[in-house]
Amino acid sequence: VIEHSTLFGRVFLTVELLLIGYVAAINLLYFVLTIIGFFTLQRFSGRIFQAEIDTLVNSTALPGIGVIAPAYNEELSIRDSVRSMLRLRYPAHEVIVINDGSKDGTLAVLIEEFRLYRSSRVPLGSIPTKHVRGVYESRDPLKLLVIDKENGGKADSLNAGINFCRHPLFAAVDSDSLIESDALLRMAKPFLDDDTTIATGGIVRVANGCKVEGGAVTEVRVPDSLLARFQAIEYLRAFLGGRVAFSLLNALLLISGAFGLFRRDVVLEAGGFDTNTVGEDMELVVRLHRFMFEKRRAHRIVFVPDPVCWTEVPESVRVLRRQRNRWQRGSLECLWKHRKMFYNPRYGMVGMLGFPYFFFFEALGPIVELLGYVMTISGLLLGLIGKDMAILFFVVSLLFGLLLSLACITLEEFTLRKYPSVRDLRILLGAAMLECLGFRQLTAVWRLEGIIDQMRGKTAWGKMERRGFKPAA
Amino acid sequence: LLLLSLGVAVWLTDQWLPDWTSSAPLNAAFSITIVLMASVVVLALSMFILKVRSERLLRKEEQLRPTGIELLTSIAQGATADRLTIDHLAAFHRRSPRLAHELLSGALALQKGEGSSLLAAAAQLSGIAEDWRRMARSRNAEVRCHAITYLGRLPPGTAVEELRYALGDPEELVRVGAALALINSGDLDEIERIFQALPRQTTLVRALMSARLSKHSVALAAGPIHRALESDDSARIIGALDLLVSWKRSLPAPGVGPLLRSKDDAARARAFQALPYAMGAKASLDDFEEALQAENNEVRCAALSVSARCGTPLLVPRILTLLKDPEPTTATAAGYALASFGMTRLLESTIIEGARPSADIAMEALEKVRIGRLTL
Repeated sequence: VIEHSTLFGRVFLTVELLLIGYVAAINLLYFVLTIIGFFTLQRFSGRIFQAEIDTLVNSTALPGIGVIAPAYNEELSIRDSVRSMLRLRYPAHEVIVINDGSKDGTLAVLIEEFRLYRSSRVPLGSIPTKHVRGVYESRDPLKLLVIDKENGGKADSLNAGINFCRHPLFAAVDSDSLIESDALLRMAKPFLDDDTTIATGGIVRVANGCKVEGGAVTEVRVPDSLLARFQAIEYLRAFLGGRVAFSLLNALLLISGAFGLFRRDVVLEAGGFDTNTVGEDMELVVRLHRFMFEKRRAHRIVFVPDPVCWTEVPESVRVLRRQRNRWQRGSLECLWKHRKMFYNPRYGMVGMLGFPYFFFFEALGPIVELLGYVMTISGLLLGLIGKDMAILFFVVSLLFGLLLSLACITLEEFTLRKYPSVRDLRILLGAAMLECLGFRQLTAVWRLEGIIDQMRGKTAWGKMERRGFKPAA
Repeated sequence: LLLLSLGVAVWLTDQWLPDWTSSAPLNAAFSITIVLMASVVVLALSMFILKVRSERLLRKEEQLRPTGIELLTSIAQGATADRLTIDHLAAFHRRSPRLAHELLSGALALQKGEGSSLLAAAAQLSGIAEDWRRMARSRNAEVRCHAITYLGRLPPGTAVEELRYALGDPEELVRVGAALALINSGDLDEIERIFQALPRQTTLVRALMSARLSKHSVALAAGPIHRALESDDSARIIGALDLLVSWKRSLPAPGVGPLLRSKDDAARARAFQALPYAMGAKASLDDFEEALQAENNEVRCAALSVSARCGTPLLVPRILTLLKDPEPTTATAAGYALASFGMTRLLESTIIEGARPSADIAMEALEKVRIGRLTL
């Protein structure tokens, strides 16, 4: 047993105290963000109703949108994905699929299914990309463009799409995500409300367990697997808690790579997506903020609190671990690259709030969390912390986490595509309780691995395996 | 820095909290635990109660729906005179107000002529219309928005005062709902008033309005649009031109002609875009020549896009030079313009010359002509 009065004991207790302060600060901040999210979601202003959507669908006054979807080895799903993107309700949109050097028959499937011919379309943008082998358009009256290029990754493919896009706005989407039919209109609304809007993102929801018909979610259900349920809770917390509030303060640092809408001219000016990062979605948003602040141009990056996109989350621990590792590396890379913005008043709320938040609570989060566990256990063993104090600290942390999850499930009830039955709600609540016991700690370990890999200079993406969506009965 | 701050923190802890594991922090942590546990329980319980209640309400409404539809169908078919039917409707409204509002407003939107008048009379007699008027004064914006939608579905002239009042509502969607209802009423004075307010609205509102205003495009072109095009107010001019472009319908608009020489680039570009739809608007060769040489890319592109429809082949030499324009959107528009003029030979020779990117653009334009899809 080590005495409190020794130097080691004093240092230990101070660090422990700092950790408690950190935990209190992070929980308090999350709680405040969730409350802001609650009031924002309840607000009537900014919403758009079905009647308006039905009128706008036939309007010729809306800006055109290029829906850019990179595809790599997706011969099995690409047909349905493209059909679902072509069916999106928007008066002027064109689907741009980029075959990123697929080794399977993705291009052949597209050529056959959509009767493509080799087109002479010229790129109007000039972002450097890997060699474009060919451009294809449909013989049928479909607004579809397929770009066949050498493999260069997602960011490179998106850049190729931006070069060929001829609309003022473009949507960067994952070809394996399901987009709500009205999503483009909902996401375009902030651009129509305010000319200074340069990018928008929406809520990405977990599609595992949902029934899917013709490339659209027809019935919202809770996932069957426990791992996917935990992620469903996590997604709700991330989107409804944090992003709504950060958007309100114009300090949003991340628009999900699964679906984001951008102003093409601004992205072209800023140089397009960075091909040397694994977190190209966050990097672009941060760079757009930085670019606009440095050019002294008014701008807004807006989060639309409507569910616009459904994605399949990993149901295997191995794949999830790779995904979390990559996300962590992406965040760290981005924060390091734009470190100039850190606590820099020149960059407004982004520099003074968004950036420090991401650094202290997202990037350093796993280190502090795991350090807290290690120190509490070792403190107990060394007799520096009382057993009752340790148990209480643990219970308070768990309860705070649970409270936040419950608050976000409550917030979810305010969104448009909520879980319909009491049974689903019961399952979600159960998952929220279990999530604090093990899953959260596990993700902290994976994120720590991500930090270590980043320091070692690892740049690989890691393979994402998908099971496919559940068809409607 | 990290070590220094750690040292400072150790010193401060030593000074202020020499024995921080004493009962005080323990008590505080315990209190927090109790509060958090209570919050968790309250939140979970209230969520369950709300969910169960909303499910029950939905079930109840589903059970009542066929009765409501039957009742409204009988009213629309001429049962208004029957006091009993009105009493039934009032009772139905008391039992499930939300469903009654939804069904009645839905029926009003579907019915025309006699059926609509009978339903409107039933709405008045049963007190539902009065309820909507009361809702239109609610402090809750969502309630006001629904009320305006319902009132807007009553036959023209029934709720004009409420709708006019709602045009000044602080909430955008309420204003839009009222404006759309007034446009549907067909009253030209109201329509002109709404048109005058359009330039100050957001793109979203303008897009919503332009779709609904298209029914009255001829009347608007004859009066308000004509006056707007002749005014000095840039926002009004652009608003009027945007409407002409969005309707894509030939309308008398001679005022577009002089705007082709406007000093305001935005108005000038839109004037060229509106030119194919503006009957009586005169565009000279000089107007096109000057626009094709304009510094503003938007003006050049707009002039190019309509050059084949409204210009003359005399413009071809100037357009050919624009094929080499450093701005890719202008160069591409020039290629398409040449193709629209039928200058396939010229495009072919550009391809043979092989100078890039003009050769590539010429190839694209030629290809579009061959497959009959010459739209940018």
